[in-house]
Amino acid sequence: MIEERKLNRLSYGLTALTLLLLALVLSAVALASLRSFERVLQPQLAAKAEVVAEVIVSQVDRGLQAGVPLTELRGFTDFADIVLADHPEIVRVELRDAEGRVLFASSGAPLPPEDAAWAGEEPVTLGGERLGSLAVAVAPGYVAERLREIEGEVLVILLVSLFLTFEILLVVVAMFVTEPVRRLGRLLAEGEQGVFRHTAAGEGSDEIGRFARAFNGLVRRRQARYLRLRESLGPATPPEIAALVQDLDRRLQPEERPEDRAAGSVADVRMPLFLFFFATELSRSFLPIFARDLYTPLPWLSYEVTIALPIALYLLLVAVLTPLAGALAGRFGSRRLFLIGLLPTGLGLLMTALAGDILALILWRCVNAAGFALTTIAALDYIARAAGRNRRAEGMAIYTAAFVTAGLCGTSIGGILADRLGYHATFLVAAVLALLSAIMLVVNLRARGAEASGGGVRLRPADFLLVLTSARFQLLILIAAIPTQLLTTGYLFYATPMLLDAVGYSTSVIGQVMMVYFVVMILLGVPSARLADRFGRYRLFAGAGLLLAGFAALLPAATEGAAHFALWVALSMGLVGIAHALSIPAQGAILLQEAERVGGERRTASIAAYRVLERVGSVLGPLLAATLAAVYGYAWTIGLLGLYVLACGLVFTLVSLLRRRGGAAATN
Amino acid sequence: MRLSVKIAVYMLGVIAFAVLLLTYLTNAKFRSLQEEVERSRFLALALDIKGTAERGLALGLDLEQMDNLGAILDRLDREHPEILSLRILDDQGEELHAAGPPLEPATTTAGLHHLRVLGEAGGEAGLRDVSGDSAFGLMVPMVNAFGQVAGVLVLHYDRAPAEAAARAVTLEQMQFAALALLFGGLAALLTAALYLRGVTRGFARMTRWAEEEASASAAEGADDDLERRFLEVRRRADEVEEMVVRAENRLRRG
Repeated sequence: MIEERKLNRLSYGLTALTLLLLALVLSAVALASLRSFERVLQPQLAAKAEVVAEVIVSQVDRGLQAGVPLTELRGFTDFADIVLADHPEIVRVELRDAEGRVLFASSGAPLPPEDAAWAGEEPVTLGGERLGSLAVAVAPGYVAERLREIEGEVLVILLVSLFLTFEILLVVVAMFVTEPVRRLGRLLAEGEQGVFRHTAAGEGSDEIGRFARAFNGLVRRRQARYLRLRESLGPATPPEIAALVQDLDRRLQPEERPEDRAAGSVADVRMPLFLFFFATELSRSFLPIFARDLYTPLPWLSYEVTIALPIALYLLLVAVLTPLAGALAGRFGSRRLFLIGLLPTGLGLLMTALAGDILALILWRCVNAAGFALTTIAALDYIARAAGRNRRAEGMAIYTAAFVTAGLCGTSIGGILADRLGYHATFLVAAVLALLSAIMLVVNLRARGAEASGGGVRLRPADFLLVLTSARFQLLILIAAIPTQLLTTGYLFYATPMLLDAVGYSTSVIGQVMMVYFVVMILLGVPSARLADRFGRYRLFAGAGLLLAGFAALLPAATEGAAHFALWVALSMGLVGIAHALSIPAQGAILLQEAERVGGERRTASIAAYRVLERVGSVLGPLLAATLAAVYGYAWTIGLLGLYVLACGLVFTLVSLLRRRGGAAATN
Repeated sequence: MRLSVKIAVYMLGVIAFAVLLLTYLTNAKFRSLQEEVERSRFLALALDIKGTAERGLALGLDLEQMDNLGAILDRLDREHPEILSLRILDDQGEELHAAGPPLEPATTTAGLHHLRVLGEAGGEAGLRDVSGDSAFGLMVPMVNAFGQVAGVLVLHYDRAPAEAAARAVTLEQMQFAALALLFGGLAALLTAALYLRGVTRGFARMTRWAEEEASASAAEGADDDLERRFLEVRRRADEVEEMVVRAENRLRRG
């Protein structure tokens, strides 16, 4: 085979070069845009300063007309302070006499008359006579400060574009370079053994395609000569050449179906899968707020629980339908199931865009959940088949990368789109993306035959019993997995948007805060998993992750009301990201260890049962957060969830340590 | 199409997508900020009128008795050409003072209805957006000394100048983007050609070897592992062909 290392180097090298180029181009466009914005906004601010001056002068005029001399307008400072409180961009107002001496001014430090901040001067007159003037100073850094907000968003967009580009480029390079070379590598490996039964599929017009054509010509010429020989032999092969012909049969008998076409490639689904996740993640940053806007009372349910239902029921249905989807993947084949799953996804997103009340929202989110369960299982099934045994871990890494990158990009871009287009239109965009995903899937997989069915292991109630009655599984699921999932959905996905919205942050800021979690997960997920593998101390990593996540969740309550509160929440998100990067892969490794103890055919089933049970935490998260928020508010609810995770982390670490000590004592 | 060109086209496609995304999203943010600054300018005027009216209401005057309000509306309408319409309505929607024609009646009626519902529920009346297709607008409630809504000020303004400025910015951004894409395209082509030079040359050489009748080029030597392996494959292919020839000859002799 061609060296994987070289292919990866080629692929990542090309991607790195493009990213560098992209960063340069985007930075140039962003800088030029910011300069344009500043040029247009400055005069608008000056116009605003004039209006404020006009408003104050009209009051001064009223005083003068009532007979109060300019020098006796003693209430000026209080009045100016009130006006300035409504206009943060105006920093100072001065009432000056005809000679330019300051008579009265708003509170605060004076500015020298030559300061560039003075934006305008409005004359103060009485009966046509100029008595003085009113000068208004605009905060010198106001536009820059407001543009810094845009700069922050530009940086976010740049980051998102880089991740998005990385995702797309990996697919492009895989499609045109690494996969064709890998396929040729398989043929060359056969050729080195003197076997020429297969030809290369997909002869493109580039150098690799031309080589594939030439290689096929080389093979076909030999196959044709051999087939002519075979024809001339007739029904009986002369015994003196029988052994030679038999050897030639093994080497040159063309196979009816080129091997490459049947195998498929993980790259085929990478982009459609990314688009699918991207579409479903677009609403992440505003879904609870959208639910709140559509709120209508439902019998027996509190306001908080009702608006948490679209998220909680979605997660519940995904958990319930996943085992069913696994069985369907065996029956229909992953390609067909993937396409079937995209139908409810697209429909659900489209109808959510048109939802007029909370019931409609809940209904269509449930349809979405069915789509999500079917599609993700189909994708996992396809990847497992296409990657084969040797590249299964890589296949799963591609799946996880698509999910996390889409989470990052979708959350942030969804927030910005919702701010600009509104919630309904953002769901429409998501529906279009789901459709695009389906089209790409049809195009990419049209050459692949219907995949073989079967192979999956069906879940039985006994599998759940096995997981629930094993003390080791109990520890992992109750003390580690459920608290982790609970914090993810309760804090990150439900309480964060509600908390920040209540404080007055825009949807795009909420999206940016939430994306910190995904960025950290993307950057640290693989390195921390490798580190855990190297040390083999999975329980230590899982325990440390739980403890850190618990501490991190205490931050919003501890900093409630602080300046730049969103930054504190972002810090908390980042720490939870680090904690989950430490904890989640380690939990997965412990799960595999425990499943190995079960052994046999039920090993896979016990993993699947564990995954279903783990989602109990996902479902409970939003419901518990909503219930607690009604009593304690969002910041303290997050704090309580943090305390719970912290307690679980302590128990998990202690039990793990005791078991380790017990194990060591038994060995001695 | 050459591999480097193909990859460059895709690189450019990706860069174009990212540039368009960046341009669209930053433009969206800019427009939001621009609208906010513009709105706050008109809001300053509206709050001034509200203050004047509420002082009168506190003295026990009715809104319709305050003739100075009409004069203020006329003056503002004269001095600010972007203002299309300024109207003071009572809590039932009856026009008391006005400068300019009534605009966006549907959103205004809905705004008043909202205020009434809010008032009945004991809620606090605040600023309301009454923009429509033809104009942008604000509705500012005016409350008496008891906190009851006595009427509203409806201000509609023309966004055409701001829109023109925003369009100019968008055009500029498009020009930057096009220029950046041109540069990006050239750089992508150059980068891909340089980076893939080894790969494309290798495949071109292997293609030549594959197309030759005999593996005479083996003497040329291979530059890397892939080429070395292909030369081995080529040698094996010739061996297999020799086996076929041997079988043909034996068959002929037999």
